[in-house]
Amino acid sequence: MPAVDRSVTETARWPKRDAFDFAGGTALFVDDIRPAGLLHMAVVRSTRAHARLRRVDTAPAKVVPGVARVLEGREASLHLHPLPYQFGDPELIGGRRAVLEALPVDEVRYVGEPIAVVAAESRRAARAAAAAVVVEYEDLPTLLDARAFLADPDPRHVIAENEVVAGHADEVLRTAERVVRAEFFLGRSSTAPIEPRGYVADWDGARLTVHAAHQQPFQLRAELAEVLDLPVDSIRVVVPNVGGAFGLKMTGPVEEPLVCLLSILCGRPVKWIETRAECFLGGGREQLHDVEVAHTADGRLLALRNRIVIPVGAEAVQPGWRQAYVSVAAFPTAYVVPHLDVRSRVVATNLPPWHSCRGFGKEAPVFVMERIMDMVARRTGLAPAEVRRRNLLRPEDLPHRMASGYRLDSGDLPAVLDQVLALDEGIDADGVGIAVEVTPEGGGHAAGRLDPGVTPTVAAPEAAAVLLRADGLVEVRTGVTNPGGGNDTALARLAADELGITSAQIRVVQGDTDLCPPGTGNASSRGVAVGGAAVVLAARDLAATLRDLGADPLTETAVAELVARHGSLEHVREYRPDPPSDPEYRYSYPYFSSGAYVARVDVDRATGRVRVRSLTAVHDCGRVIEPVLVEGQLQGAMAMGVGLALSEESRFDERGAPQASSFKEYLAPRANDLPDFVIGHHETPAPHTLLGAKGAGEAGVGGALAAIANAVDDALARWGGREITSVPLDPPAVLALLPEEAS
Amino acid sequence: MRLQVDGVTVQVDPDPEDTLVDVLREDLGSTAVRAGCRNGDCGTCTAIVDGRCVKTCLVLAGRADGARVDTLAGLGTQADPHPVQEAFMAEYAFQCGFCLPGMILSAVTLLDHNPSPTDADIRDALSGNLCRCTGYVNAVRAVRRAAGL
Repeated sequence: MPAVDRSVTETARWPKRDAFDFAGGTALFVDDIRPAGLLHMAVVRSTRAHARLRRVDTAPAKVVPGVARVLEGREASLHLHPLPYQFGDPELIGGRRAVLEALPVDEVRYVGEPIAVVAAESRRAARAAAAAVVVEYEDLPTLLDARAFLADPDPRHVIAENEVVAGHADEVLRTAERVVRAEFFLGRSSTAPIEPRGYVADWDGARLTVHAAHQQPFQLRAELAEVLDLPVDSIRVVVPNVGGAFGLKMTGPVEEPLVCLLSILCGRPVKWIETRAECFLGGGREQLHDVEVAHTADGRLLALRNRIVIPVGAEAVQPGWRQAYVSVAAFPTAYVVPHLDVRSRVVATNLPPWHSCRGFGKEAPVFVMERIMDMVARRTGLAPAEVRRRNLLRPEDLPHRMASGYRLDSGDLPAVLDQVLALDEGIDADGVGIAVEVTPEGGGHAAGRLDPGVTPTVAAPEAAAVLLRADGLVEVRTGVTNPGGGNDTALARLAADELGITSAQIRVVQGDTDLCPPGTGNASSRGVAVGGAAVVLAARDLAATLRDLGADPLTETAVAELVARHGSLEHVREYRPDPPSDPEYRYSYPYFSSGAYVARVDVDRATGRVRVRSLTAVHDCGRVIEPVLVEGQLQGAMAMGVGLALSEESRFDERGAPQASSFKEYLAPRANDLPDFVIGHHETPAPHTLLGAKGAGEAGVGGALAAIANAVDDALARWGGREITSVPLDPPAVLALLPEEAS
Repeated sequence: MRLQVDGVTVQVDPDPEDTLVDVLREDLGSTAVRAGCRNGDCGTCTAIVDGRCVKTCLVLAGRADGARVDTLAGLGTQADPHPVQEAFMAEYAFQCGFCLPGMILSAVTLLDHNPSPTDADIRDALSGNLCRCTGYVNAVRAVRRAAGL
């Protein structure tokens, strides 16, 4: 290894690359970008859940000092094409297509829907002008939740229907001796990264440069090109450091083309930073499951029938509503259920549209299946772990074709369960709950329709470029982006290992559509497993070229000479996980991560408050490339799962107005709400990826959520409480489940 | 008005409605305080104002006239980081890093007042700072490490 100066070694000195940029407070996020001549955008939002727009009067806003431009729907529609659906055609997952514009002309569909935008010299002036816009509404009937839909199931609200059927569930349920019936409900929740969304759009007359707190720069570029009718290569998207995303920062929100259009119309850079209240409009995860399960006296599941209603908010092009499909397709999670009949209706409502939320629809099936396991345990007198053992897929069952066509590729679910039970320290608590979770991951695109004669879709590829720089460093350019989880650390390590150099000698370039090869950014837990494989292939090619040139080992002087003679020796490779040869699979997700969880809780019977005493997990995400980072991902996902189980809920009032607009109402877990998590690893390499790695980004949300719910249920059962069927379990919900004499 | 920010005296002319976080970020270009909620919930605008660890989004700029403001940027250097900064880096106590101004300065303030905190003390001291990436596990570990526990 050549001598490298301190600034070089500092990059890879700590588990997170360039750690001192953050610890020292110099790292740049999108709100830190302030080009000369900057204007600020503010958004005029609907105060009605569903209404005809009778008049939008922008004149009072135009005279507010400092205002540069006010734009309402009619004028915007002259400049903007309709928004393209993200993640593929909606028809592929049984969805209907709507024509969706950035700003409405005739009708608003939820409280908070943008009606007009303003560009002004300061944030304050923009906000004052937005407040001055006068909107006259004519109210229309509203639909706000799943139960209201069930009371009057008007098919015009149904935007997608999905079904997963195998065997004859109805027949089995009709004749079965033991049937459990329950209605399960998950509340609407959000992702709430500490940095909200933000964009700085800068049109220079020929080219549009967009700095964005974003997960998917290439998808954003493609969308902007279509909506603004610009050539793709006239747009550059640059993603600076991102302050967390968890699904929120994918392509599709209407502010994206609007901030760009204002920049084009004003000929000046325009910034929009979402307020916290605006950030809390979005959400997802709300579902109502009406379930019947037939089981034997010895705890084996025979049949499962589930009728699901999923209210996804107003129709939108962003991928949030697609989580509804995954929720159906992921049944019956980790278990063998011979007869399955799961059908959903995905319903458009007059709440803000869903955005992607960490877990991406997989948390609801885990919650429902894990509650069912405990309900069967209680009715059969078997231990919860034993009921799971009797129903879990065994290693010899894998690969397993789920009824949806998903391929559960690999894993050892019974071993993961046993390992977590052994790892759990068994402290004395009011209630103990366990959960097993599987998370299909790595797709990065829509699930394709599986019809006879139709080629199954395959997971999207990722690409990487690896090249030599004249300063002696190796540069890795990747289509994978980093929302904060540190995949740059893993990508640098993978490239360094192939080249026989250290991570400190690698520079990772991400999130710049001018510099990086196209990719899916940060989605579907594929940054390392798929993106990392592309890096390995490109680095291997570079290593081979260097060997051919006799330039191995790499030294600083050798590199300088090489670059002078041969250029940067850039090698670009694409990687796509191997699809199965069997066309019966619906190859949306190339690998499944799995995990098992044990939660211990105390429940205060006087107040209904739940305190999490311990949360223990064993996680199988295939080959672990960076153990510290993988553990960090799981810690964050588990904290989110605890929040969803106990306190996080995006509530709206009877007129559709948000009731959780700040962290004072939306209760994300704080440091003193949580215990230290205990985490163990179980590695079953993914057989169909180059590295054997699976995904680590989404597991933990559903598992922790279900384990906590089961633990609270266990505590309540000891005092004669009713069974838990809904989350979050905030104090009023817990008290409502307890019999009066117990509380 | 006059401020002393990380040892440097500066003159600013804020709007009456501005809060201290606006002055630090918009007028002075600081990246060591950040805005995550603007109503005192998330803590990423934290700085030490006249020796007190405060959320600068809750301080009207005018009230800070003449104050000494110490931000994360003045705490340590890359070559010589503060022990809390070093512990946060060593324990992988942050992922996206957006919440770090509050996390680190709250931890520094805790250890200034209580050199041997219990885990409960640490969790209480960090409870004004929201983090969505880490579940706080490694942040608690980092404070323990910085305390030499």
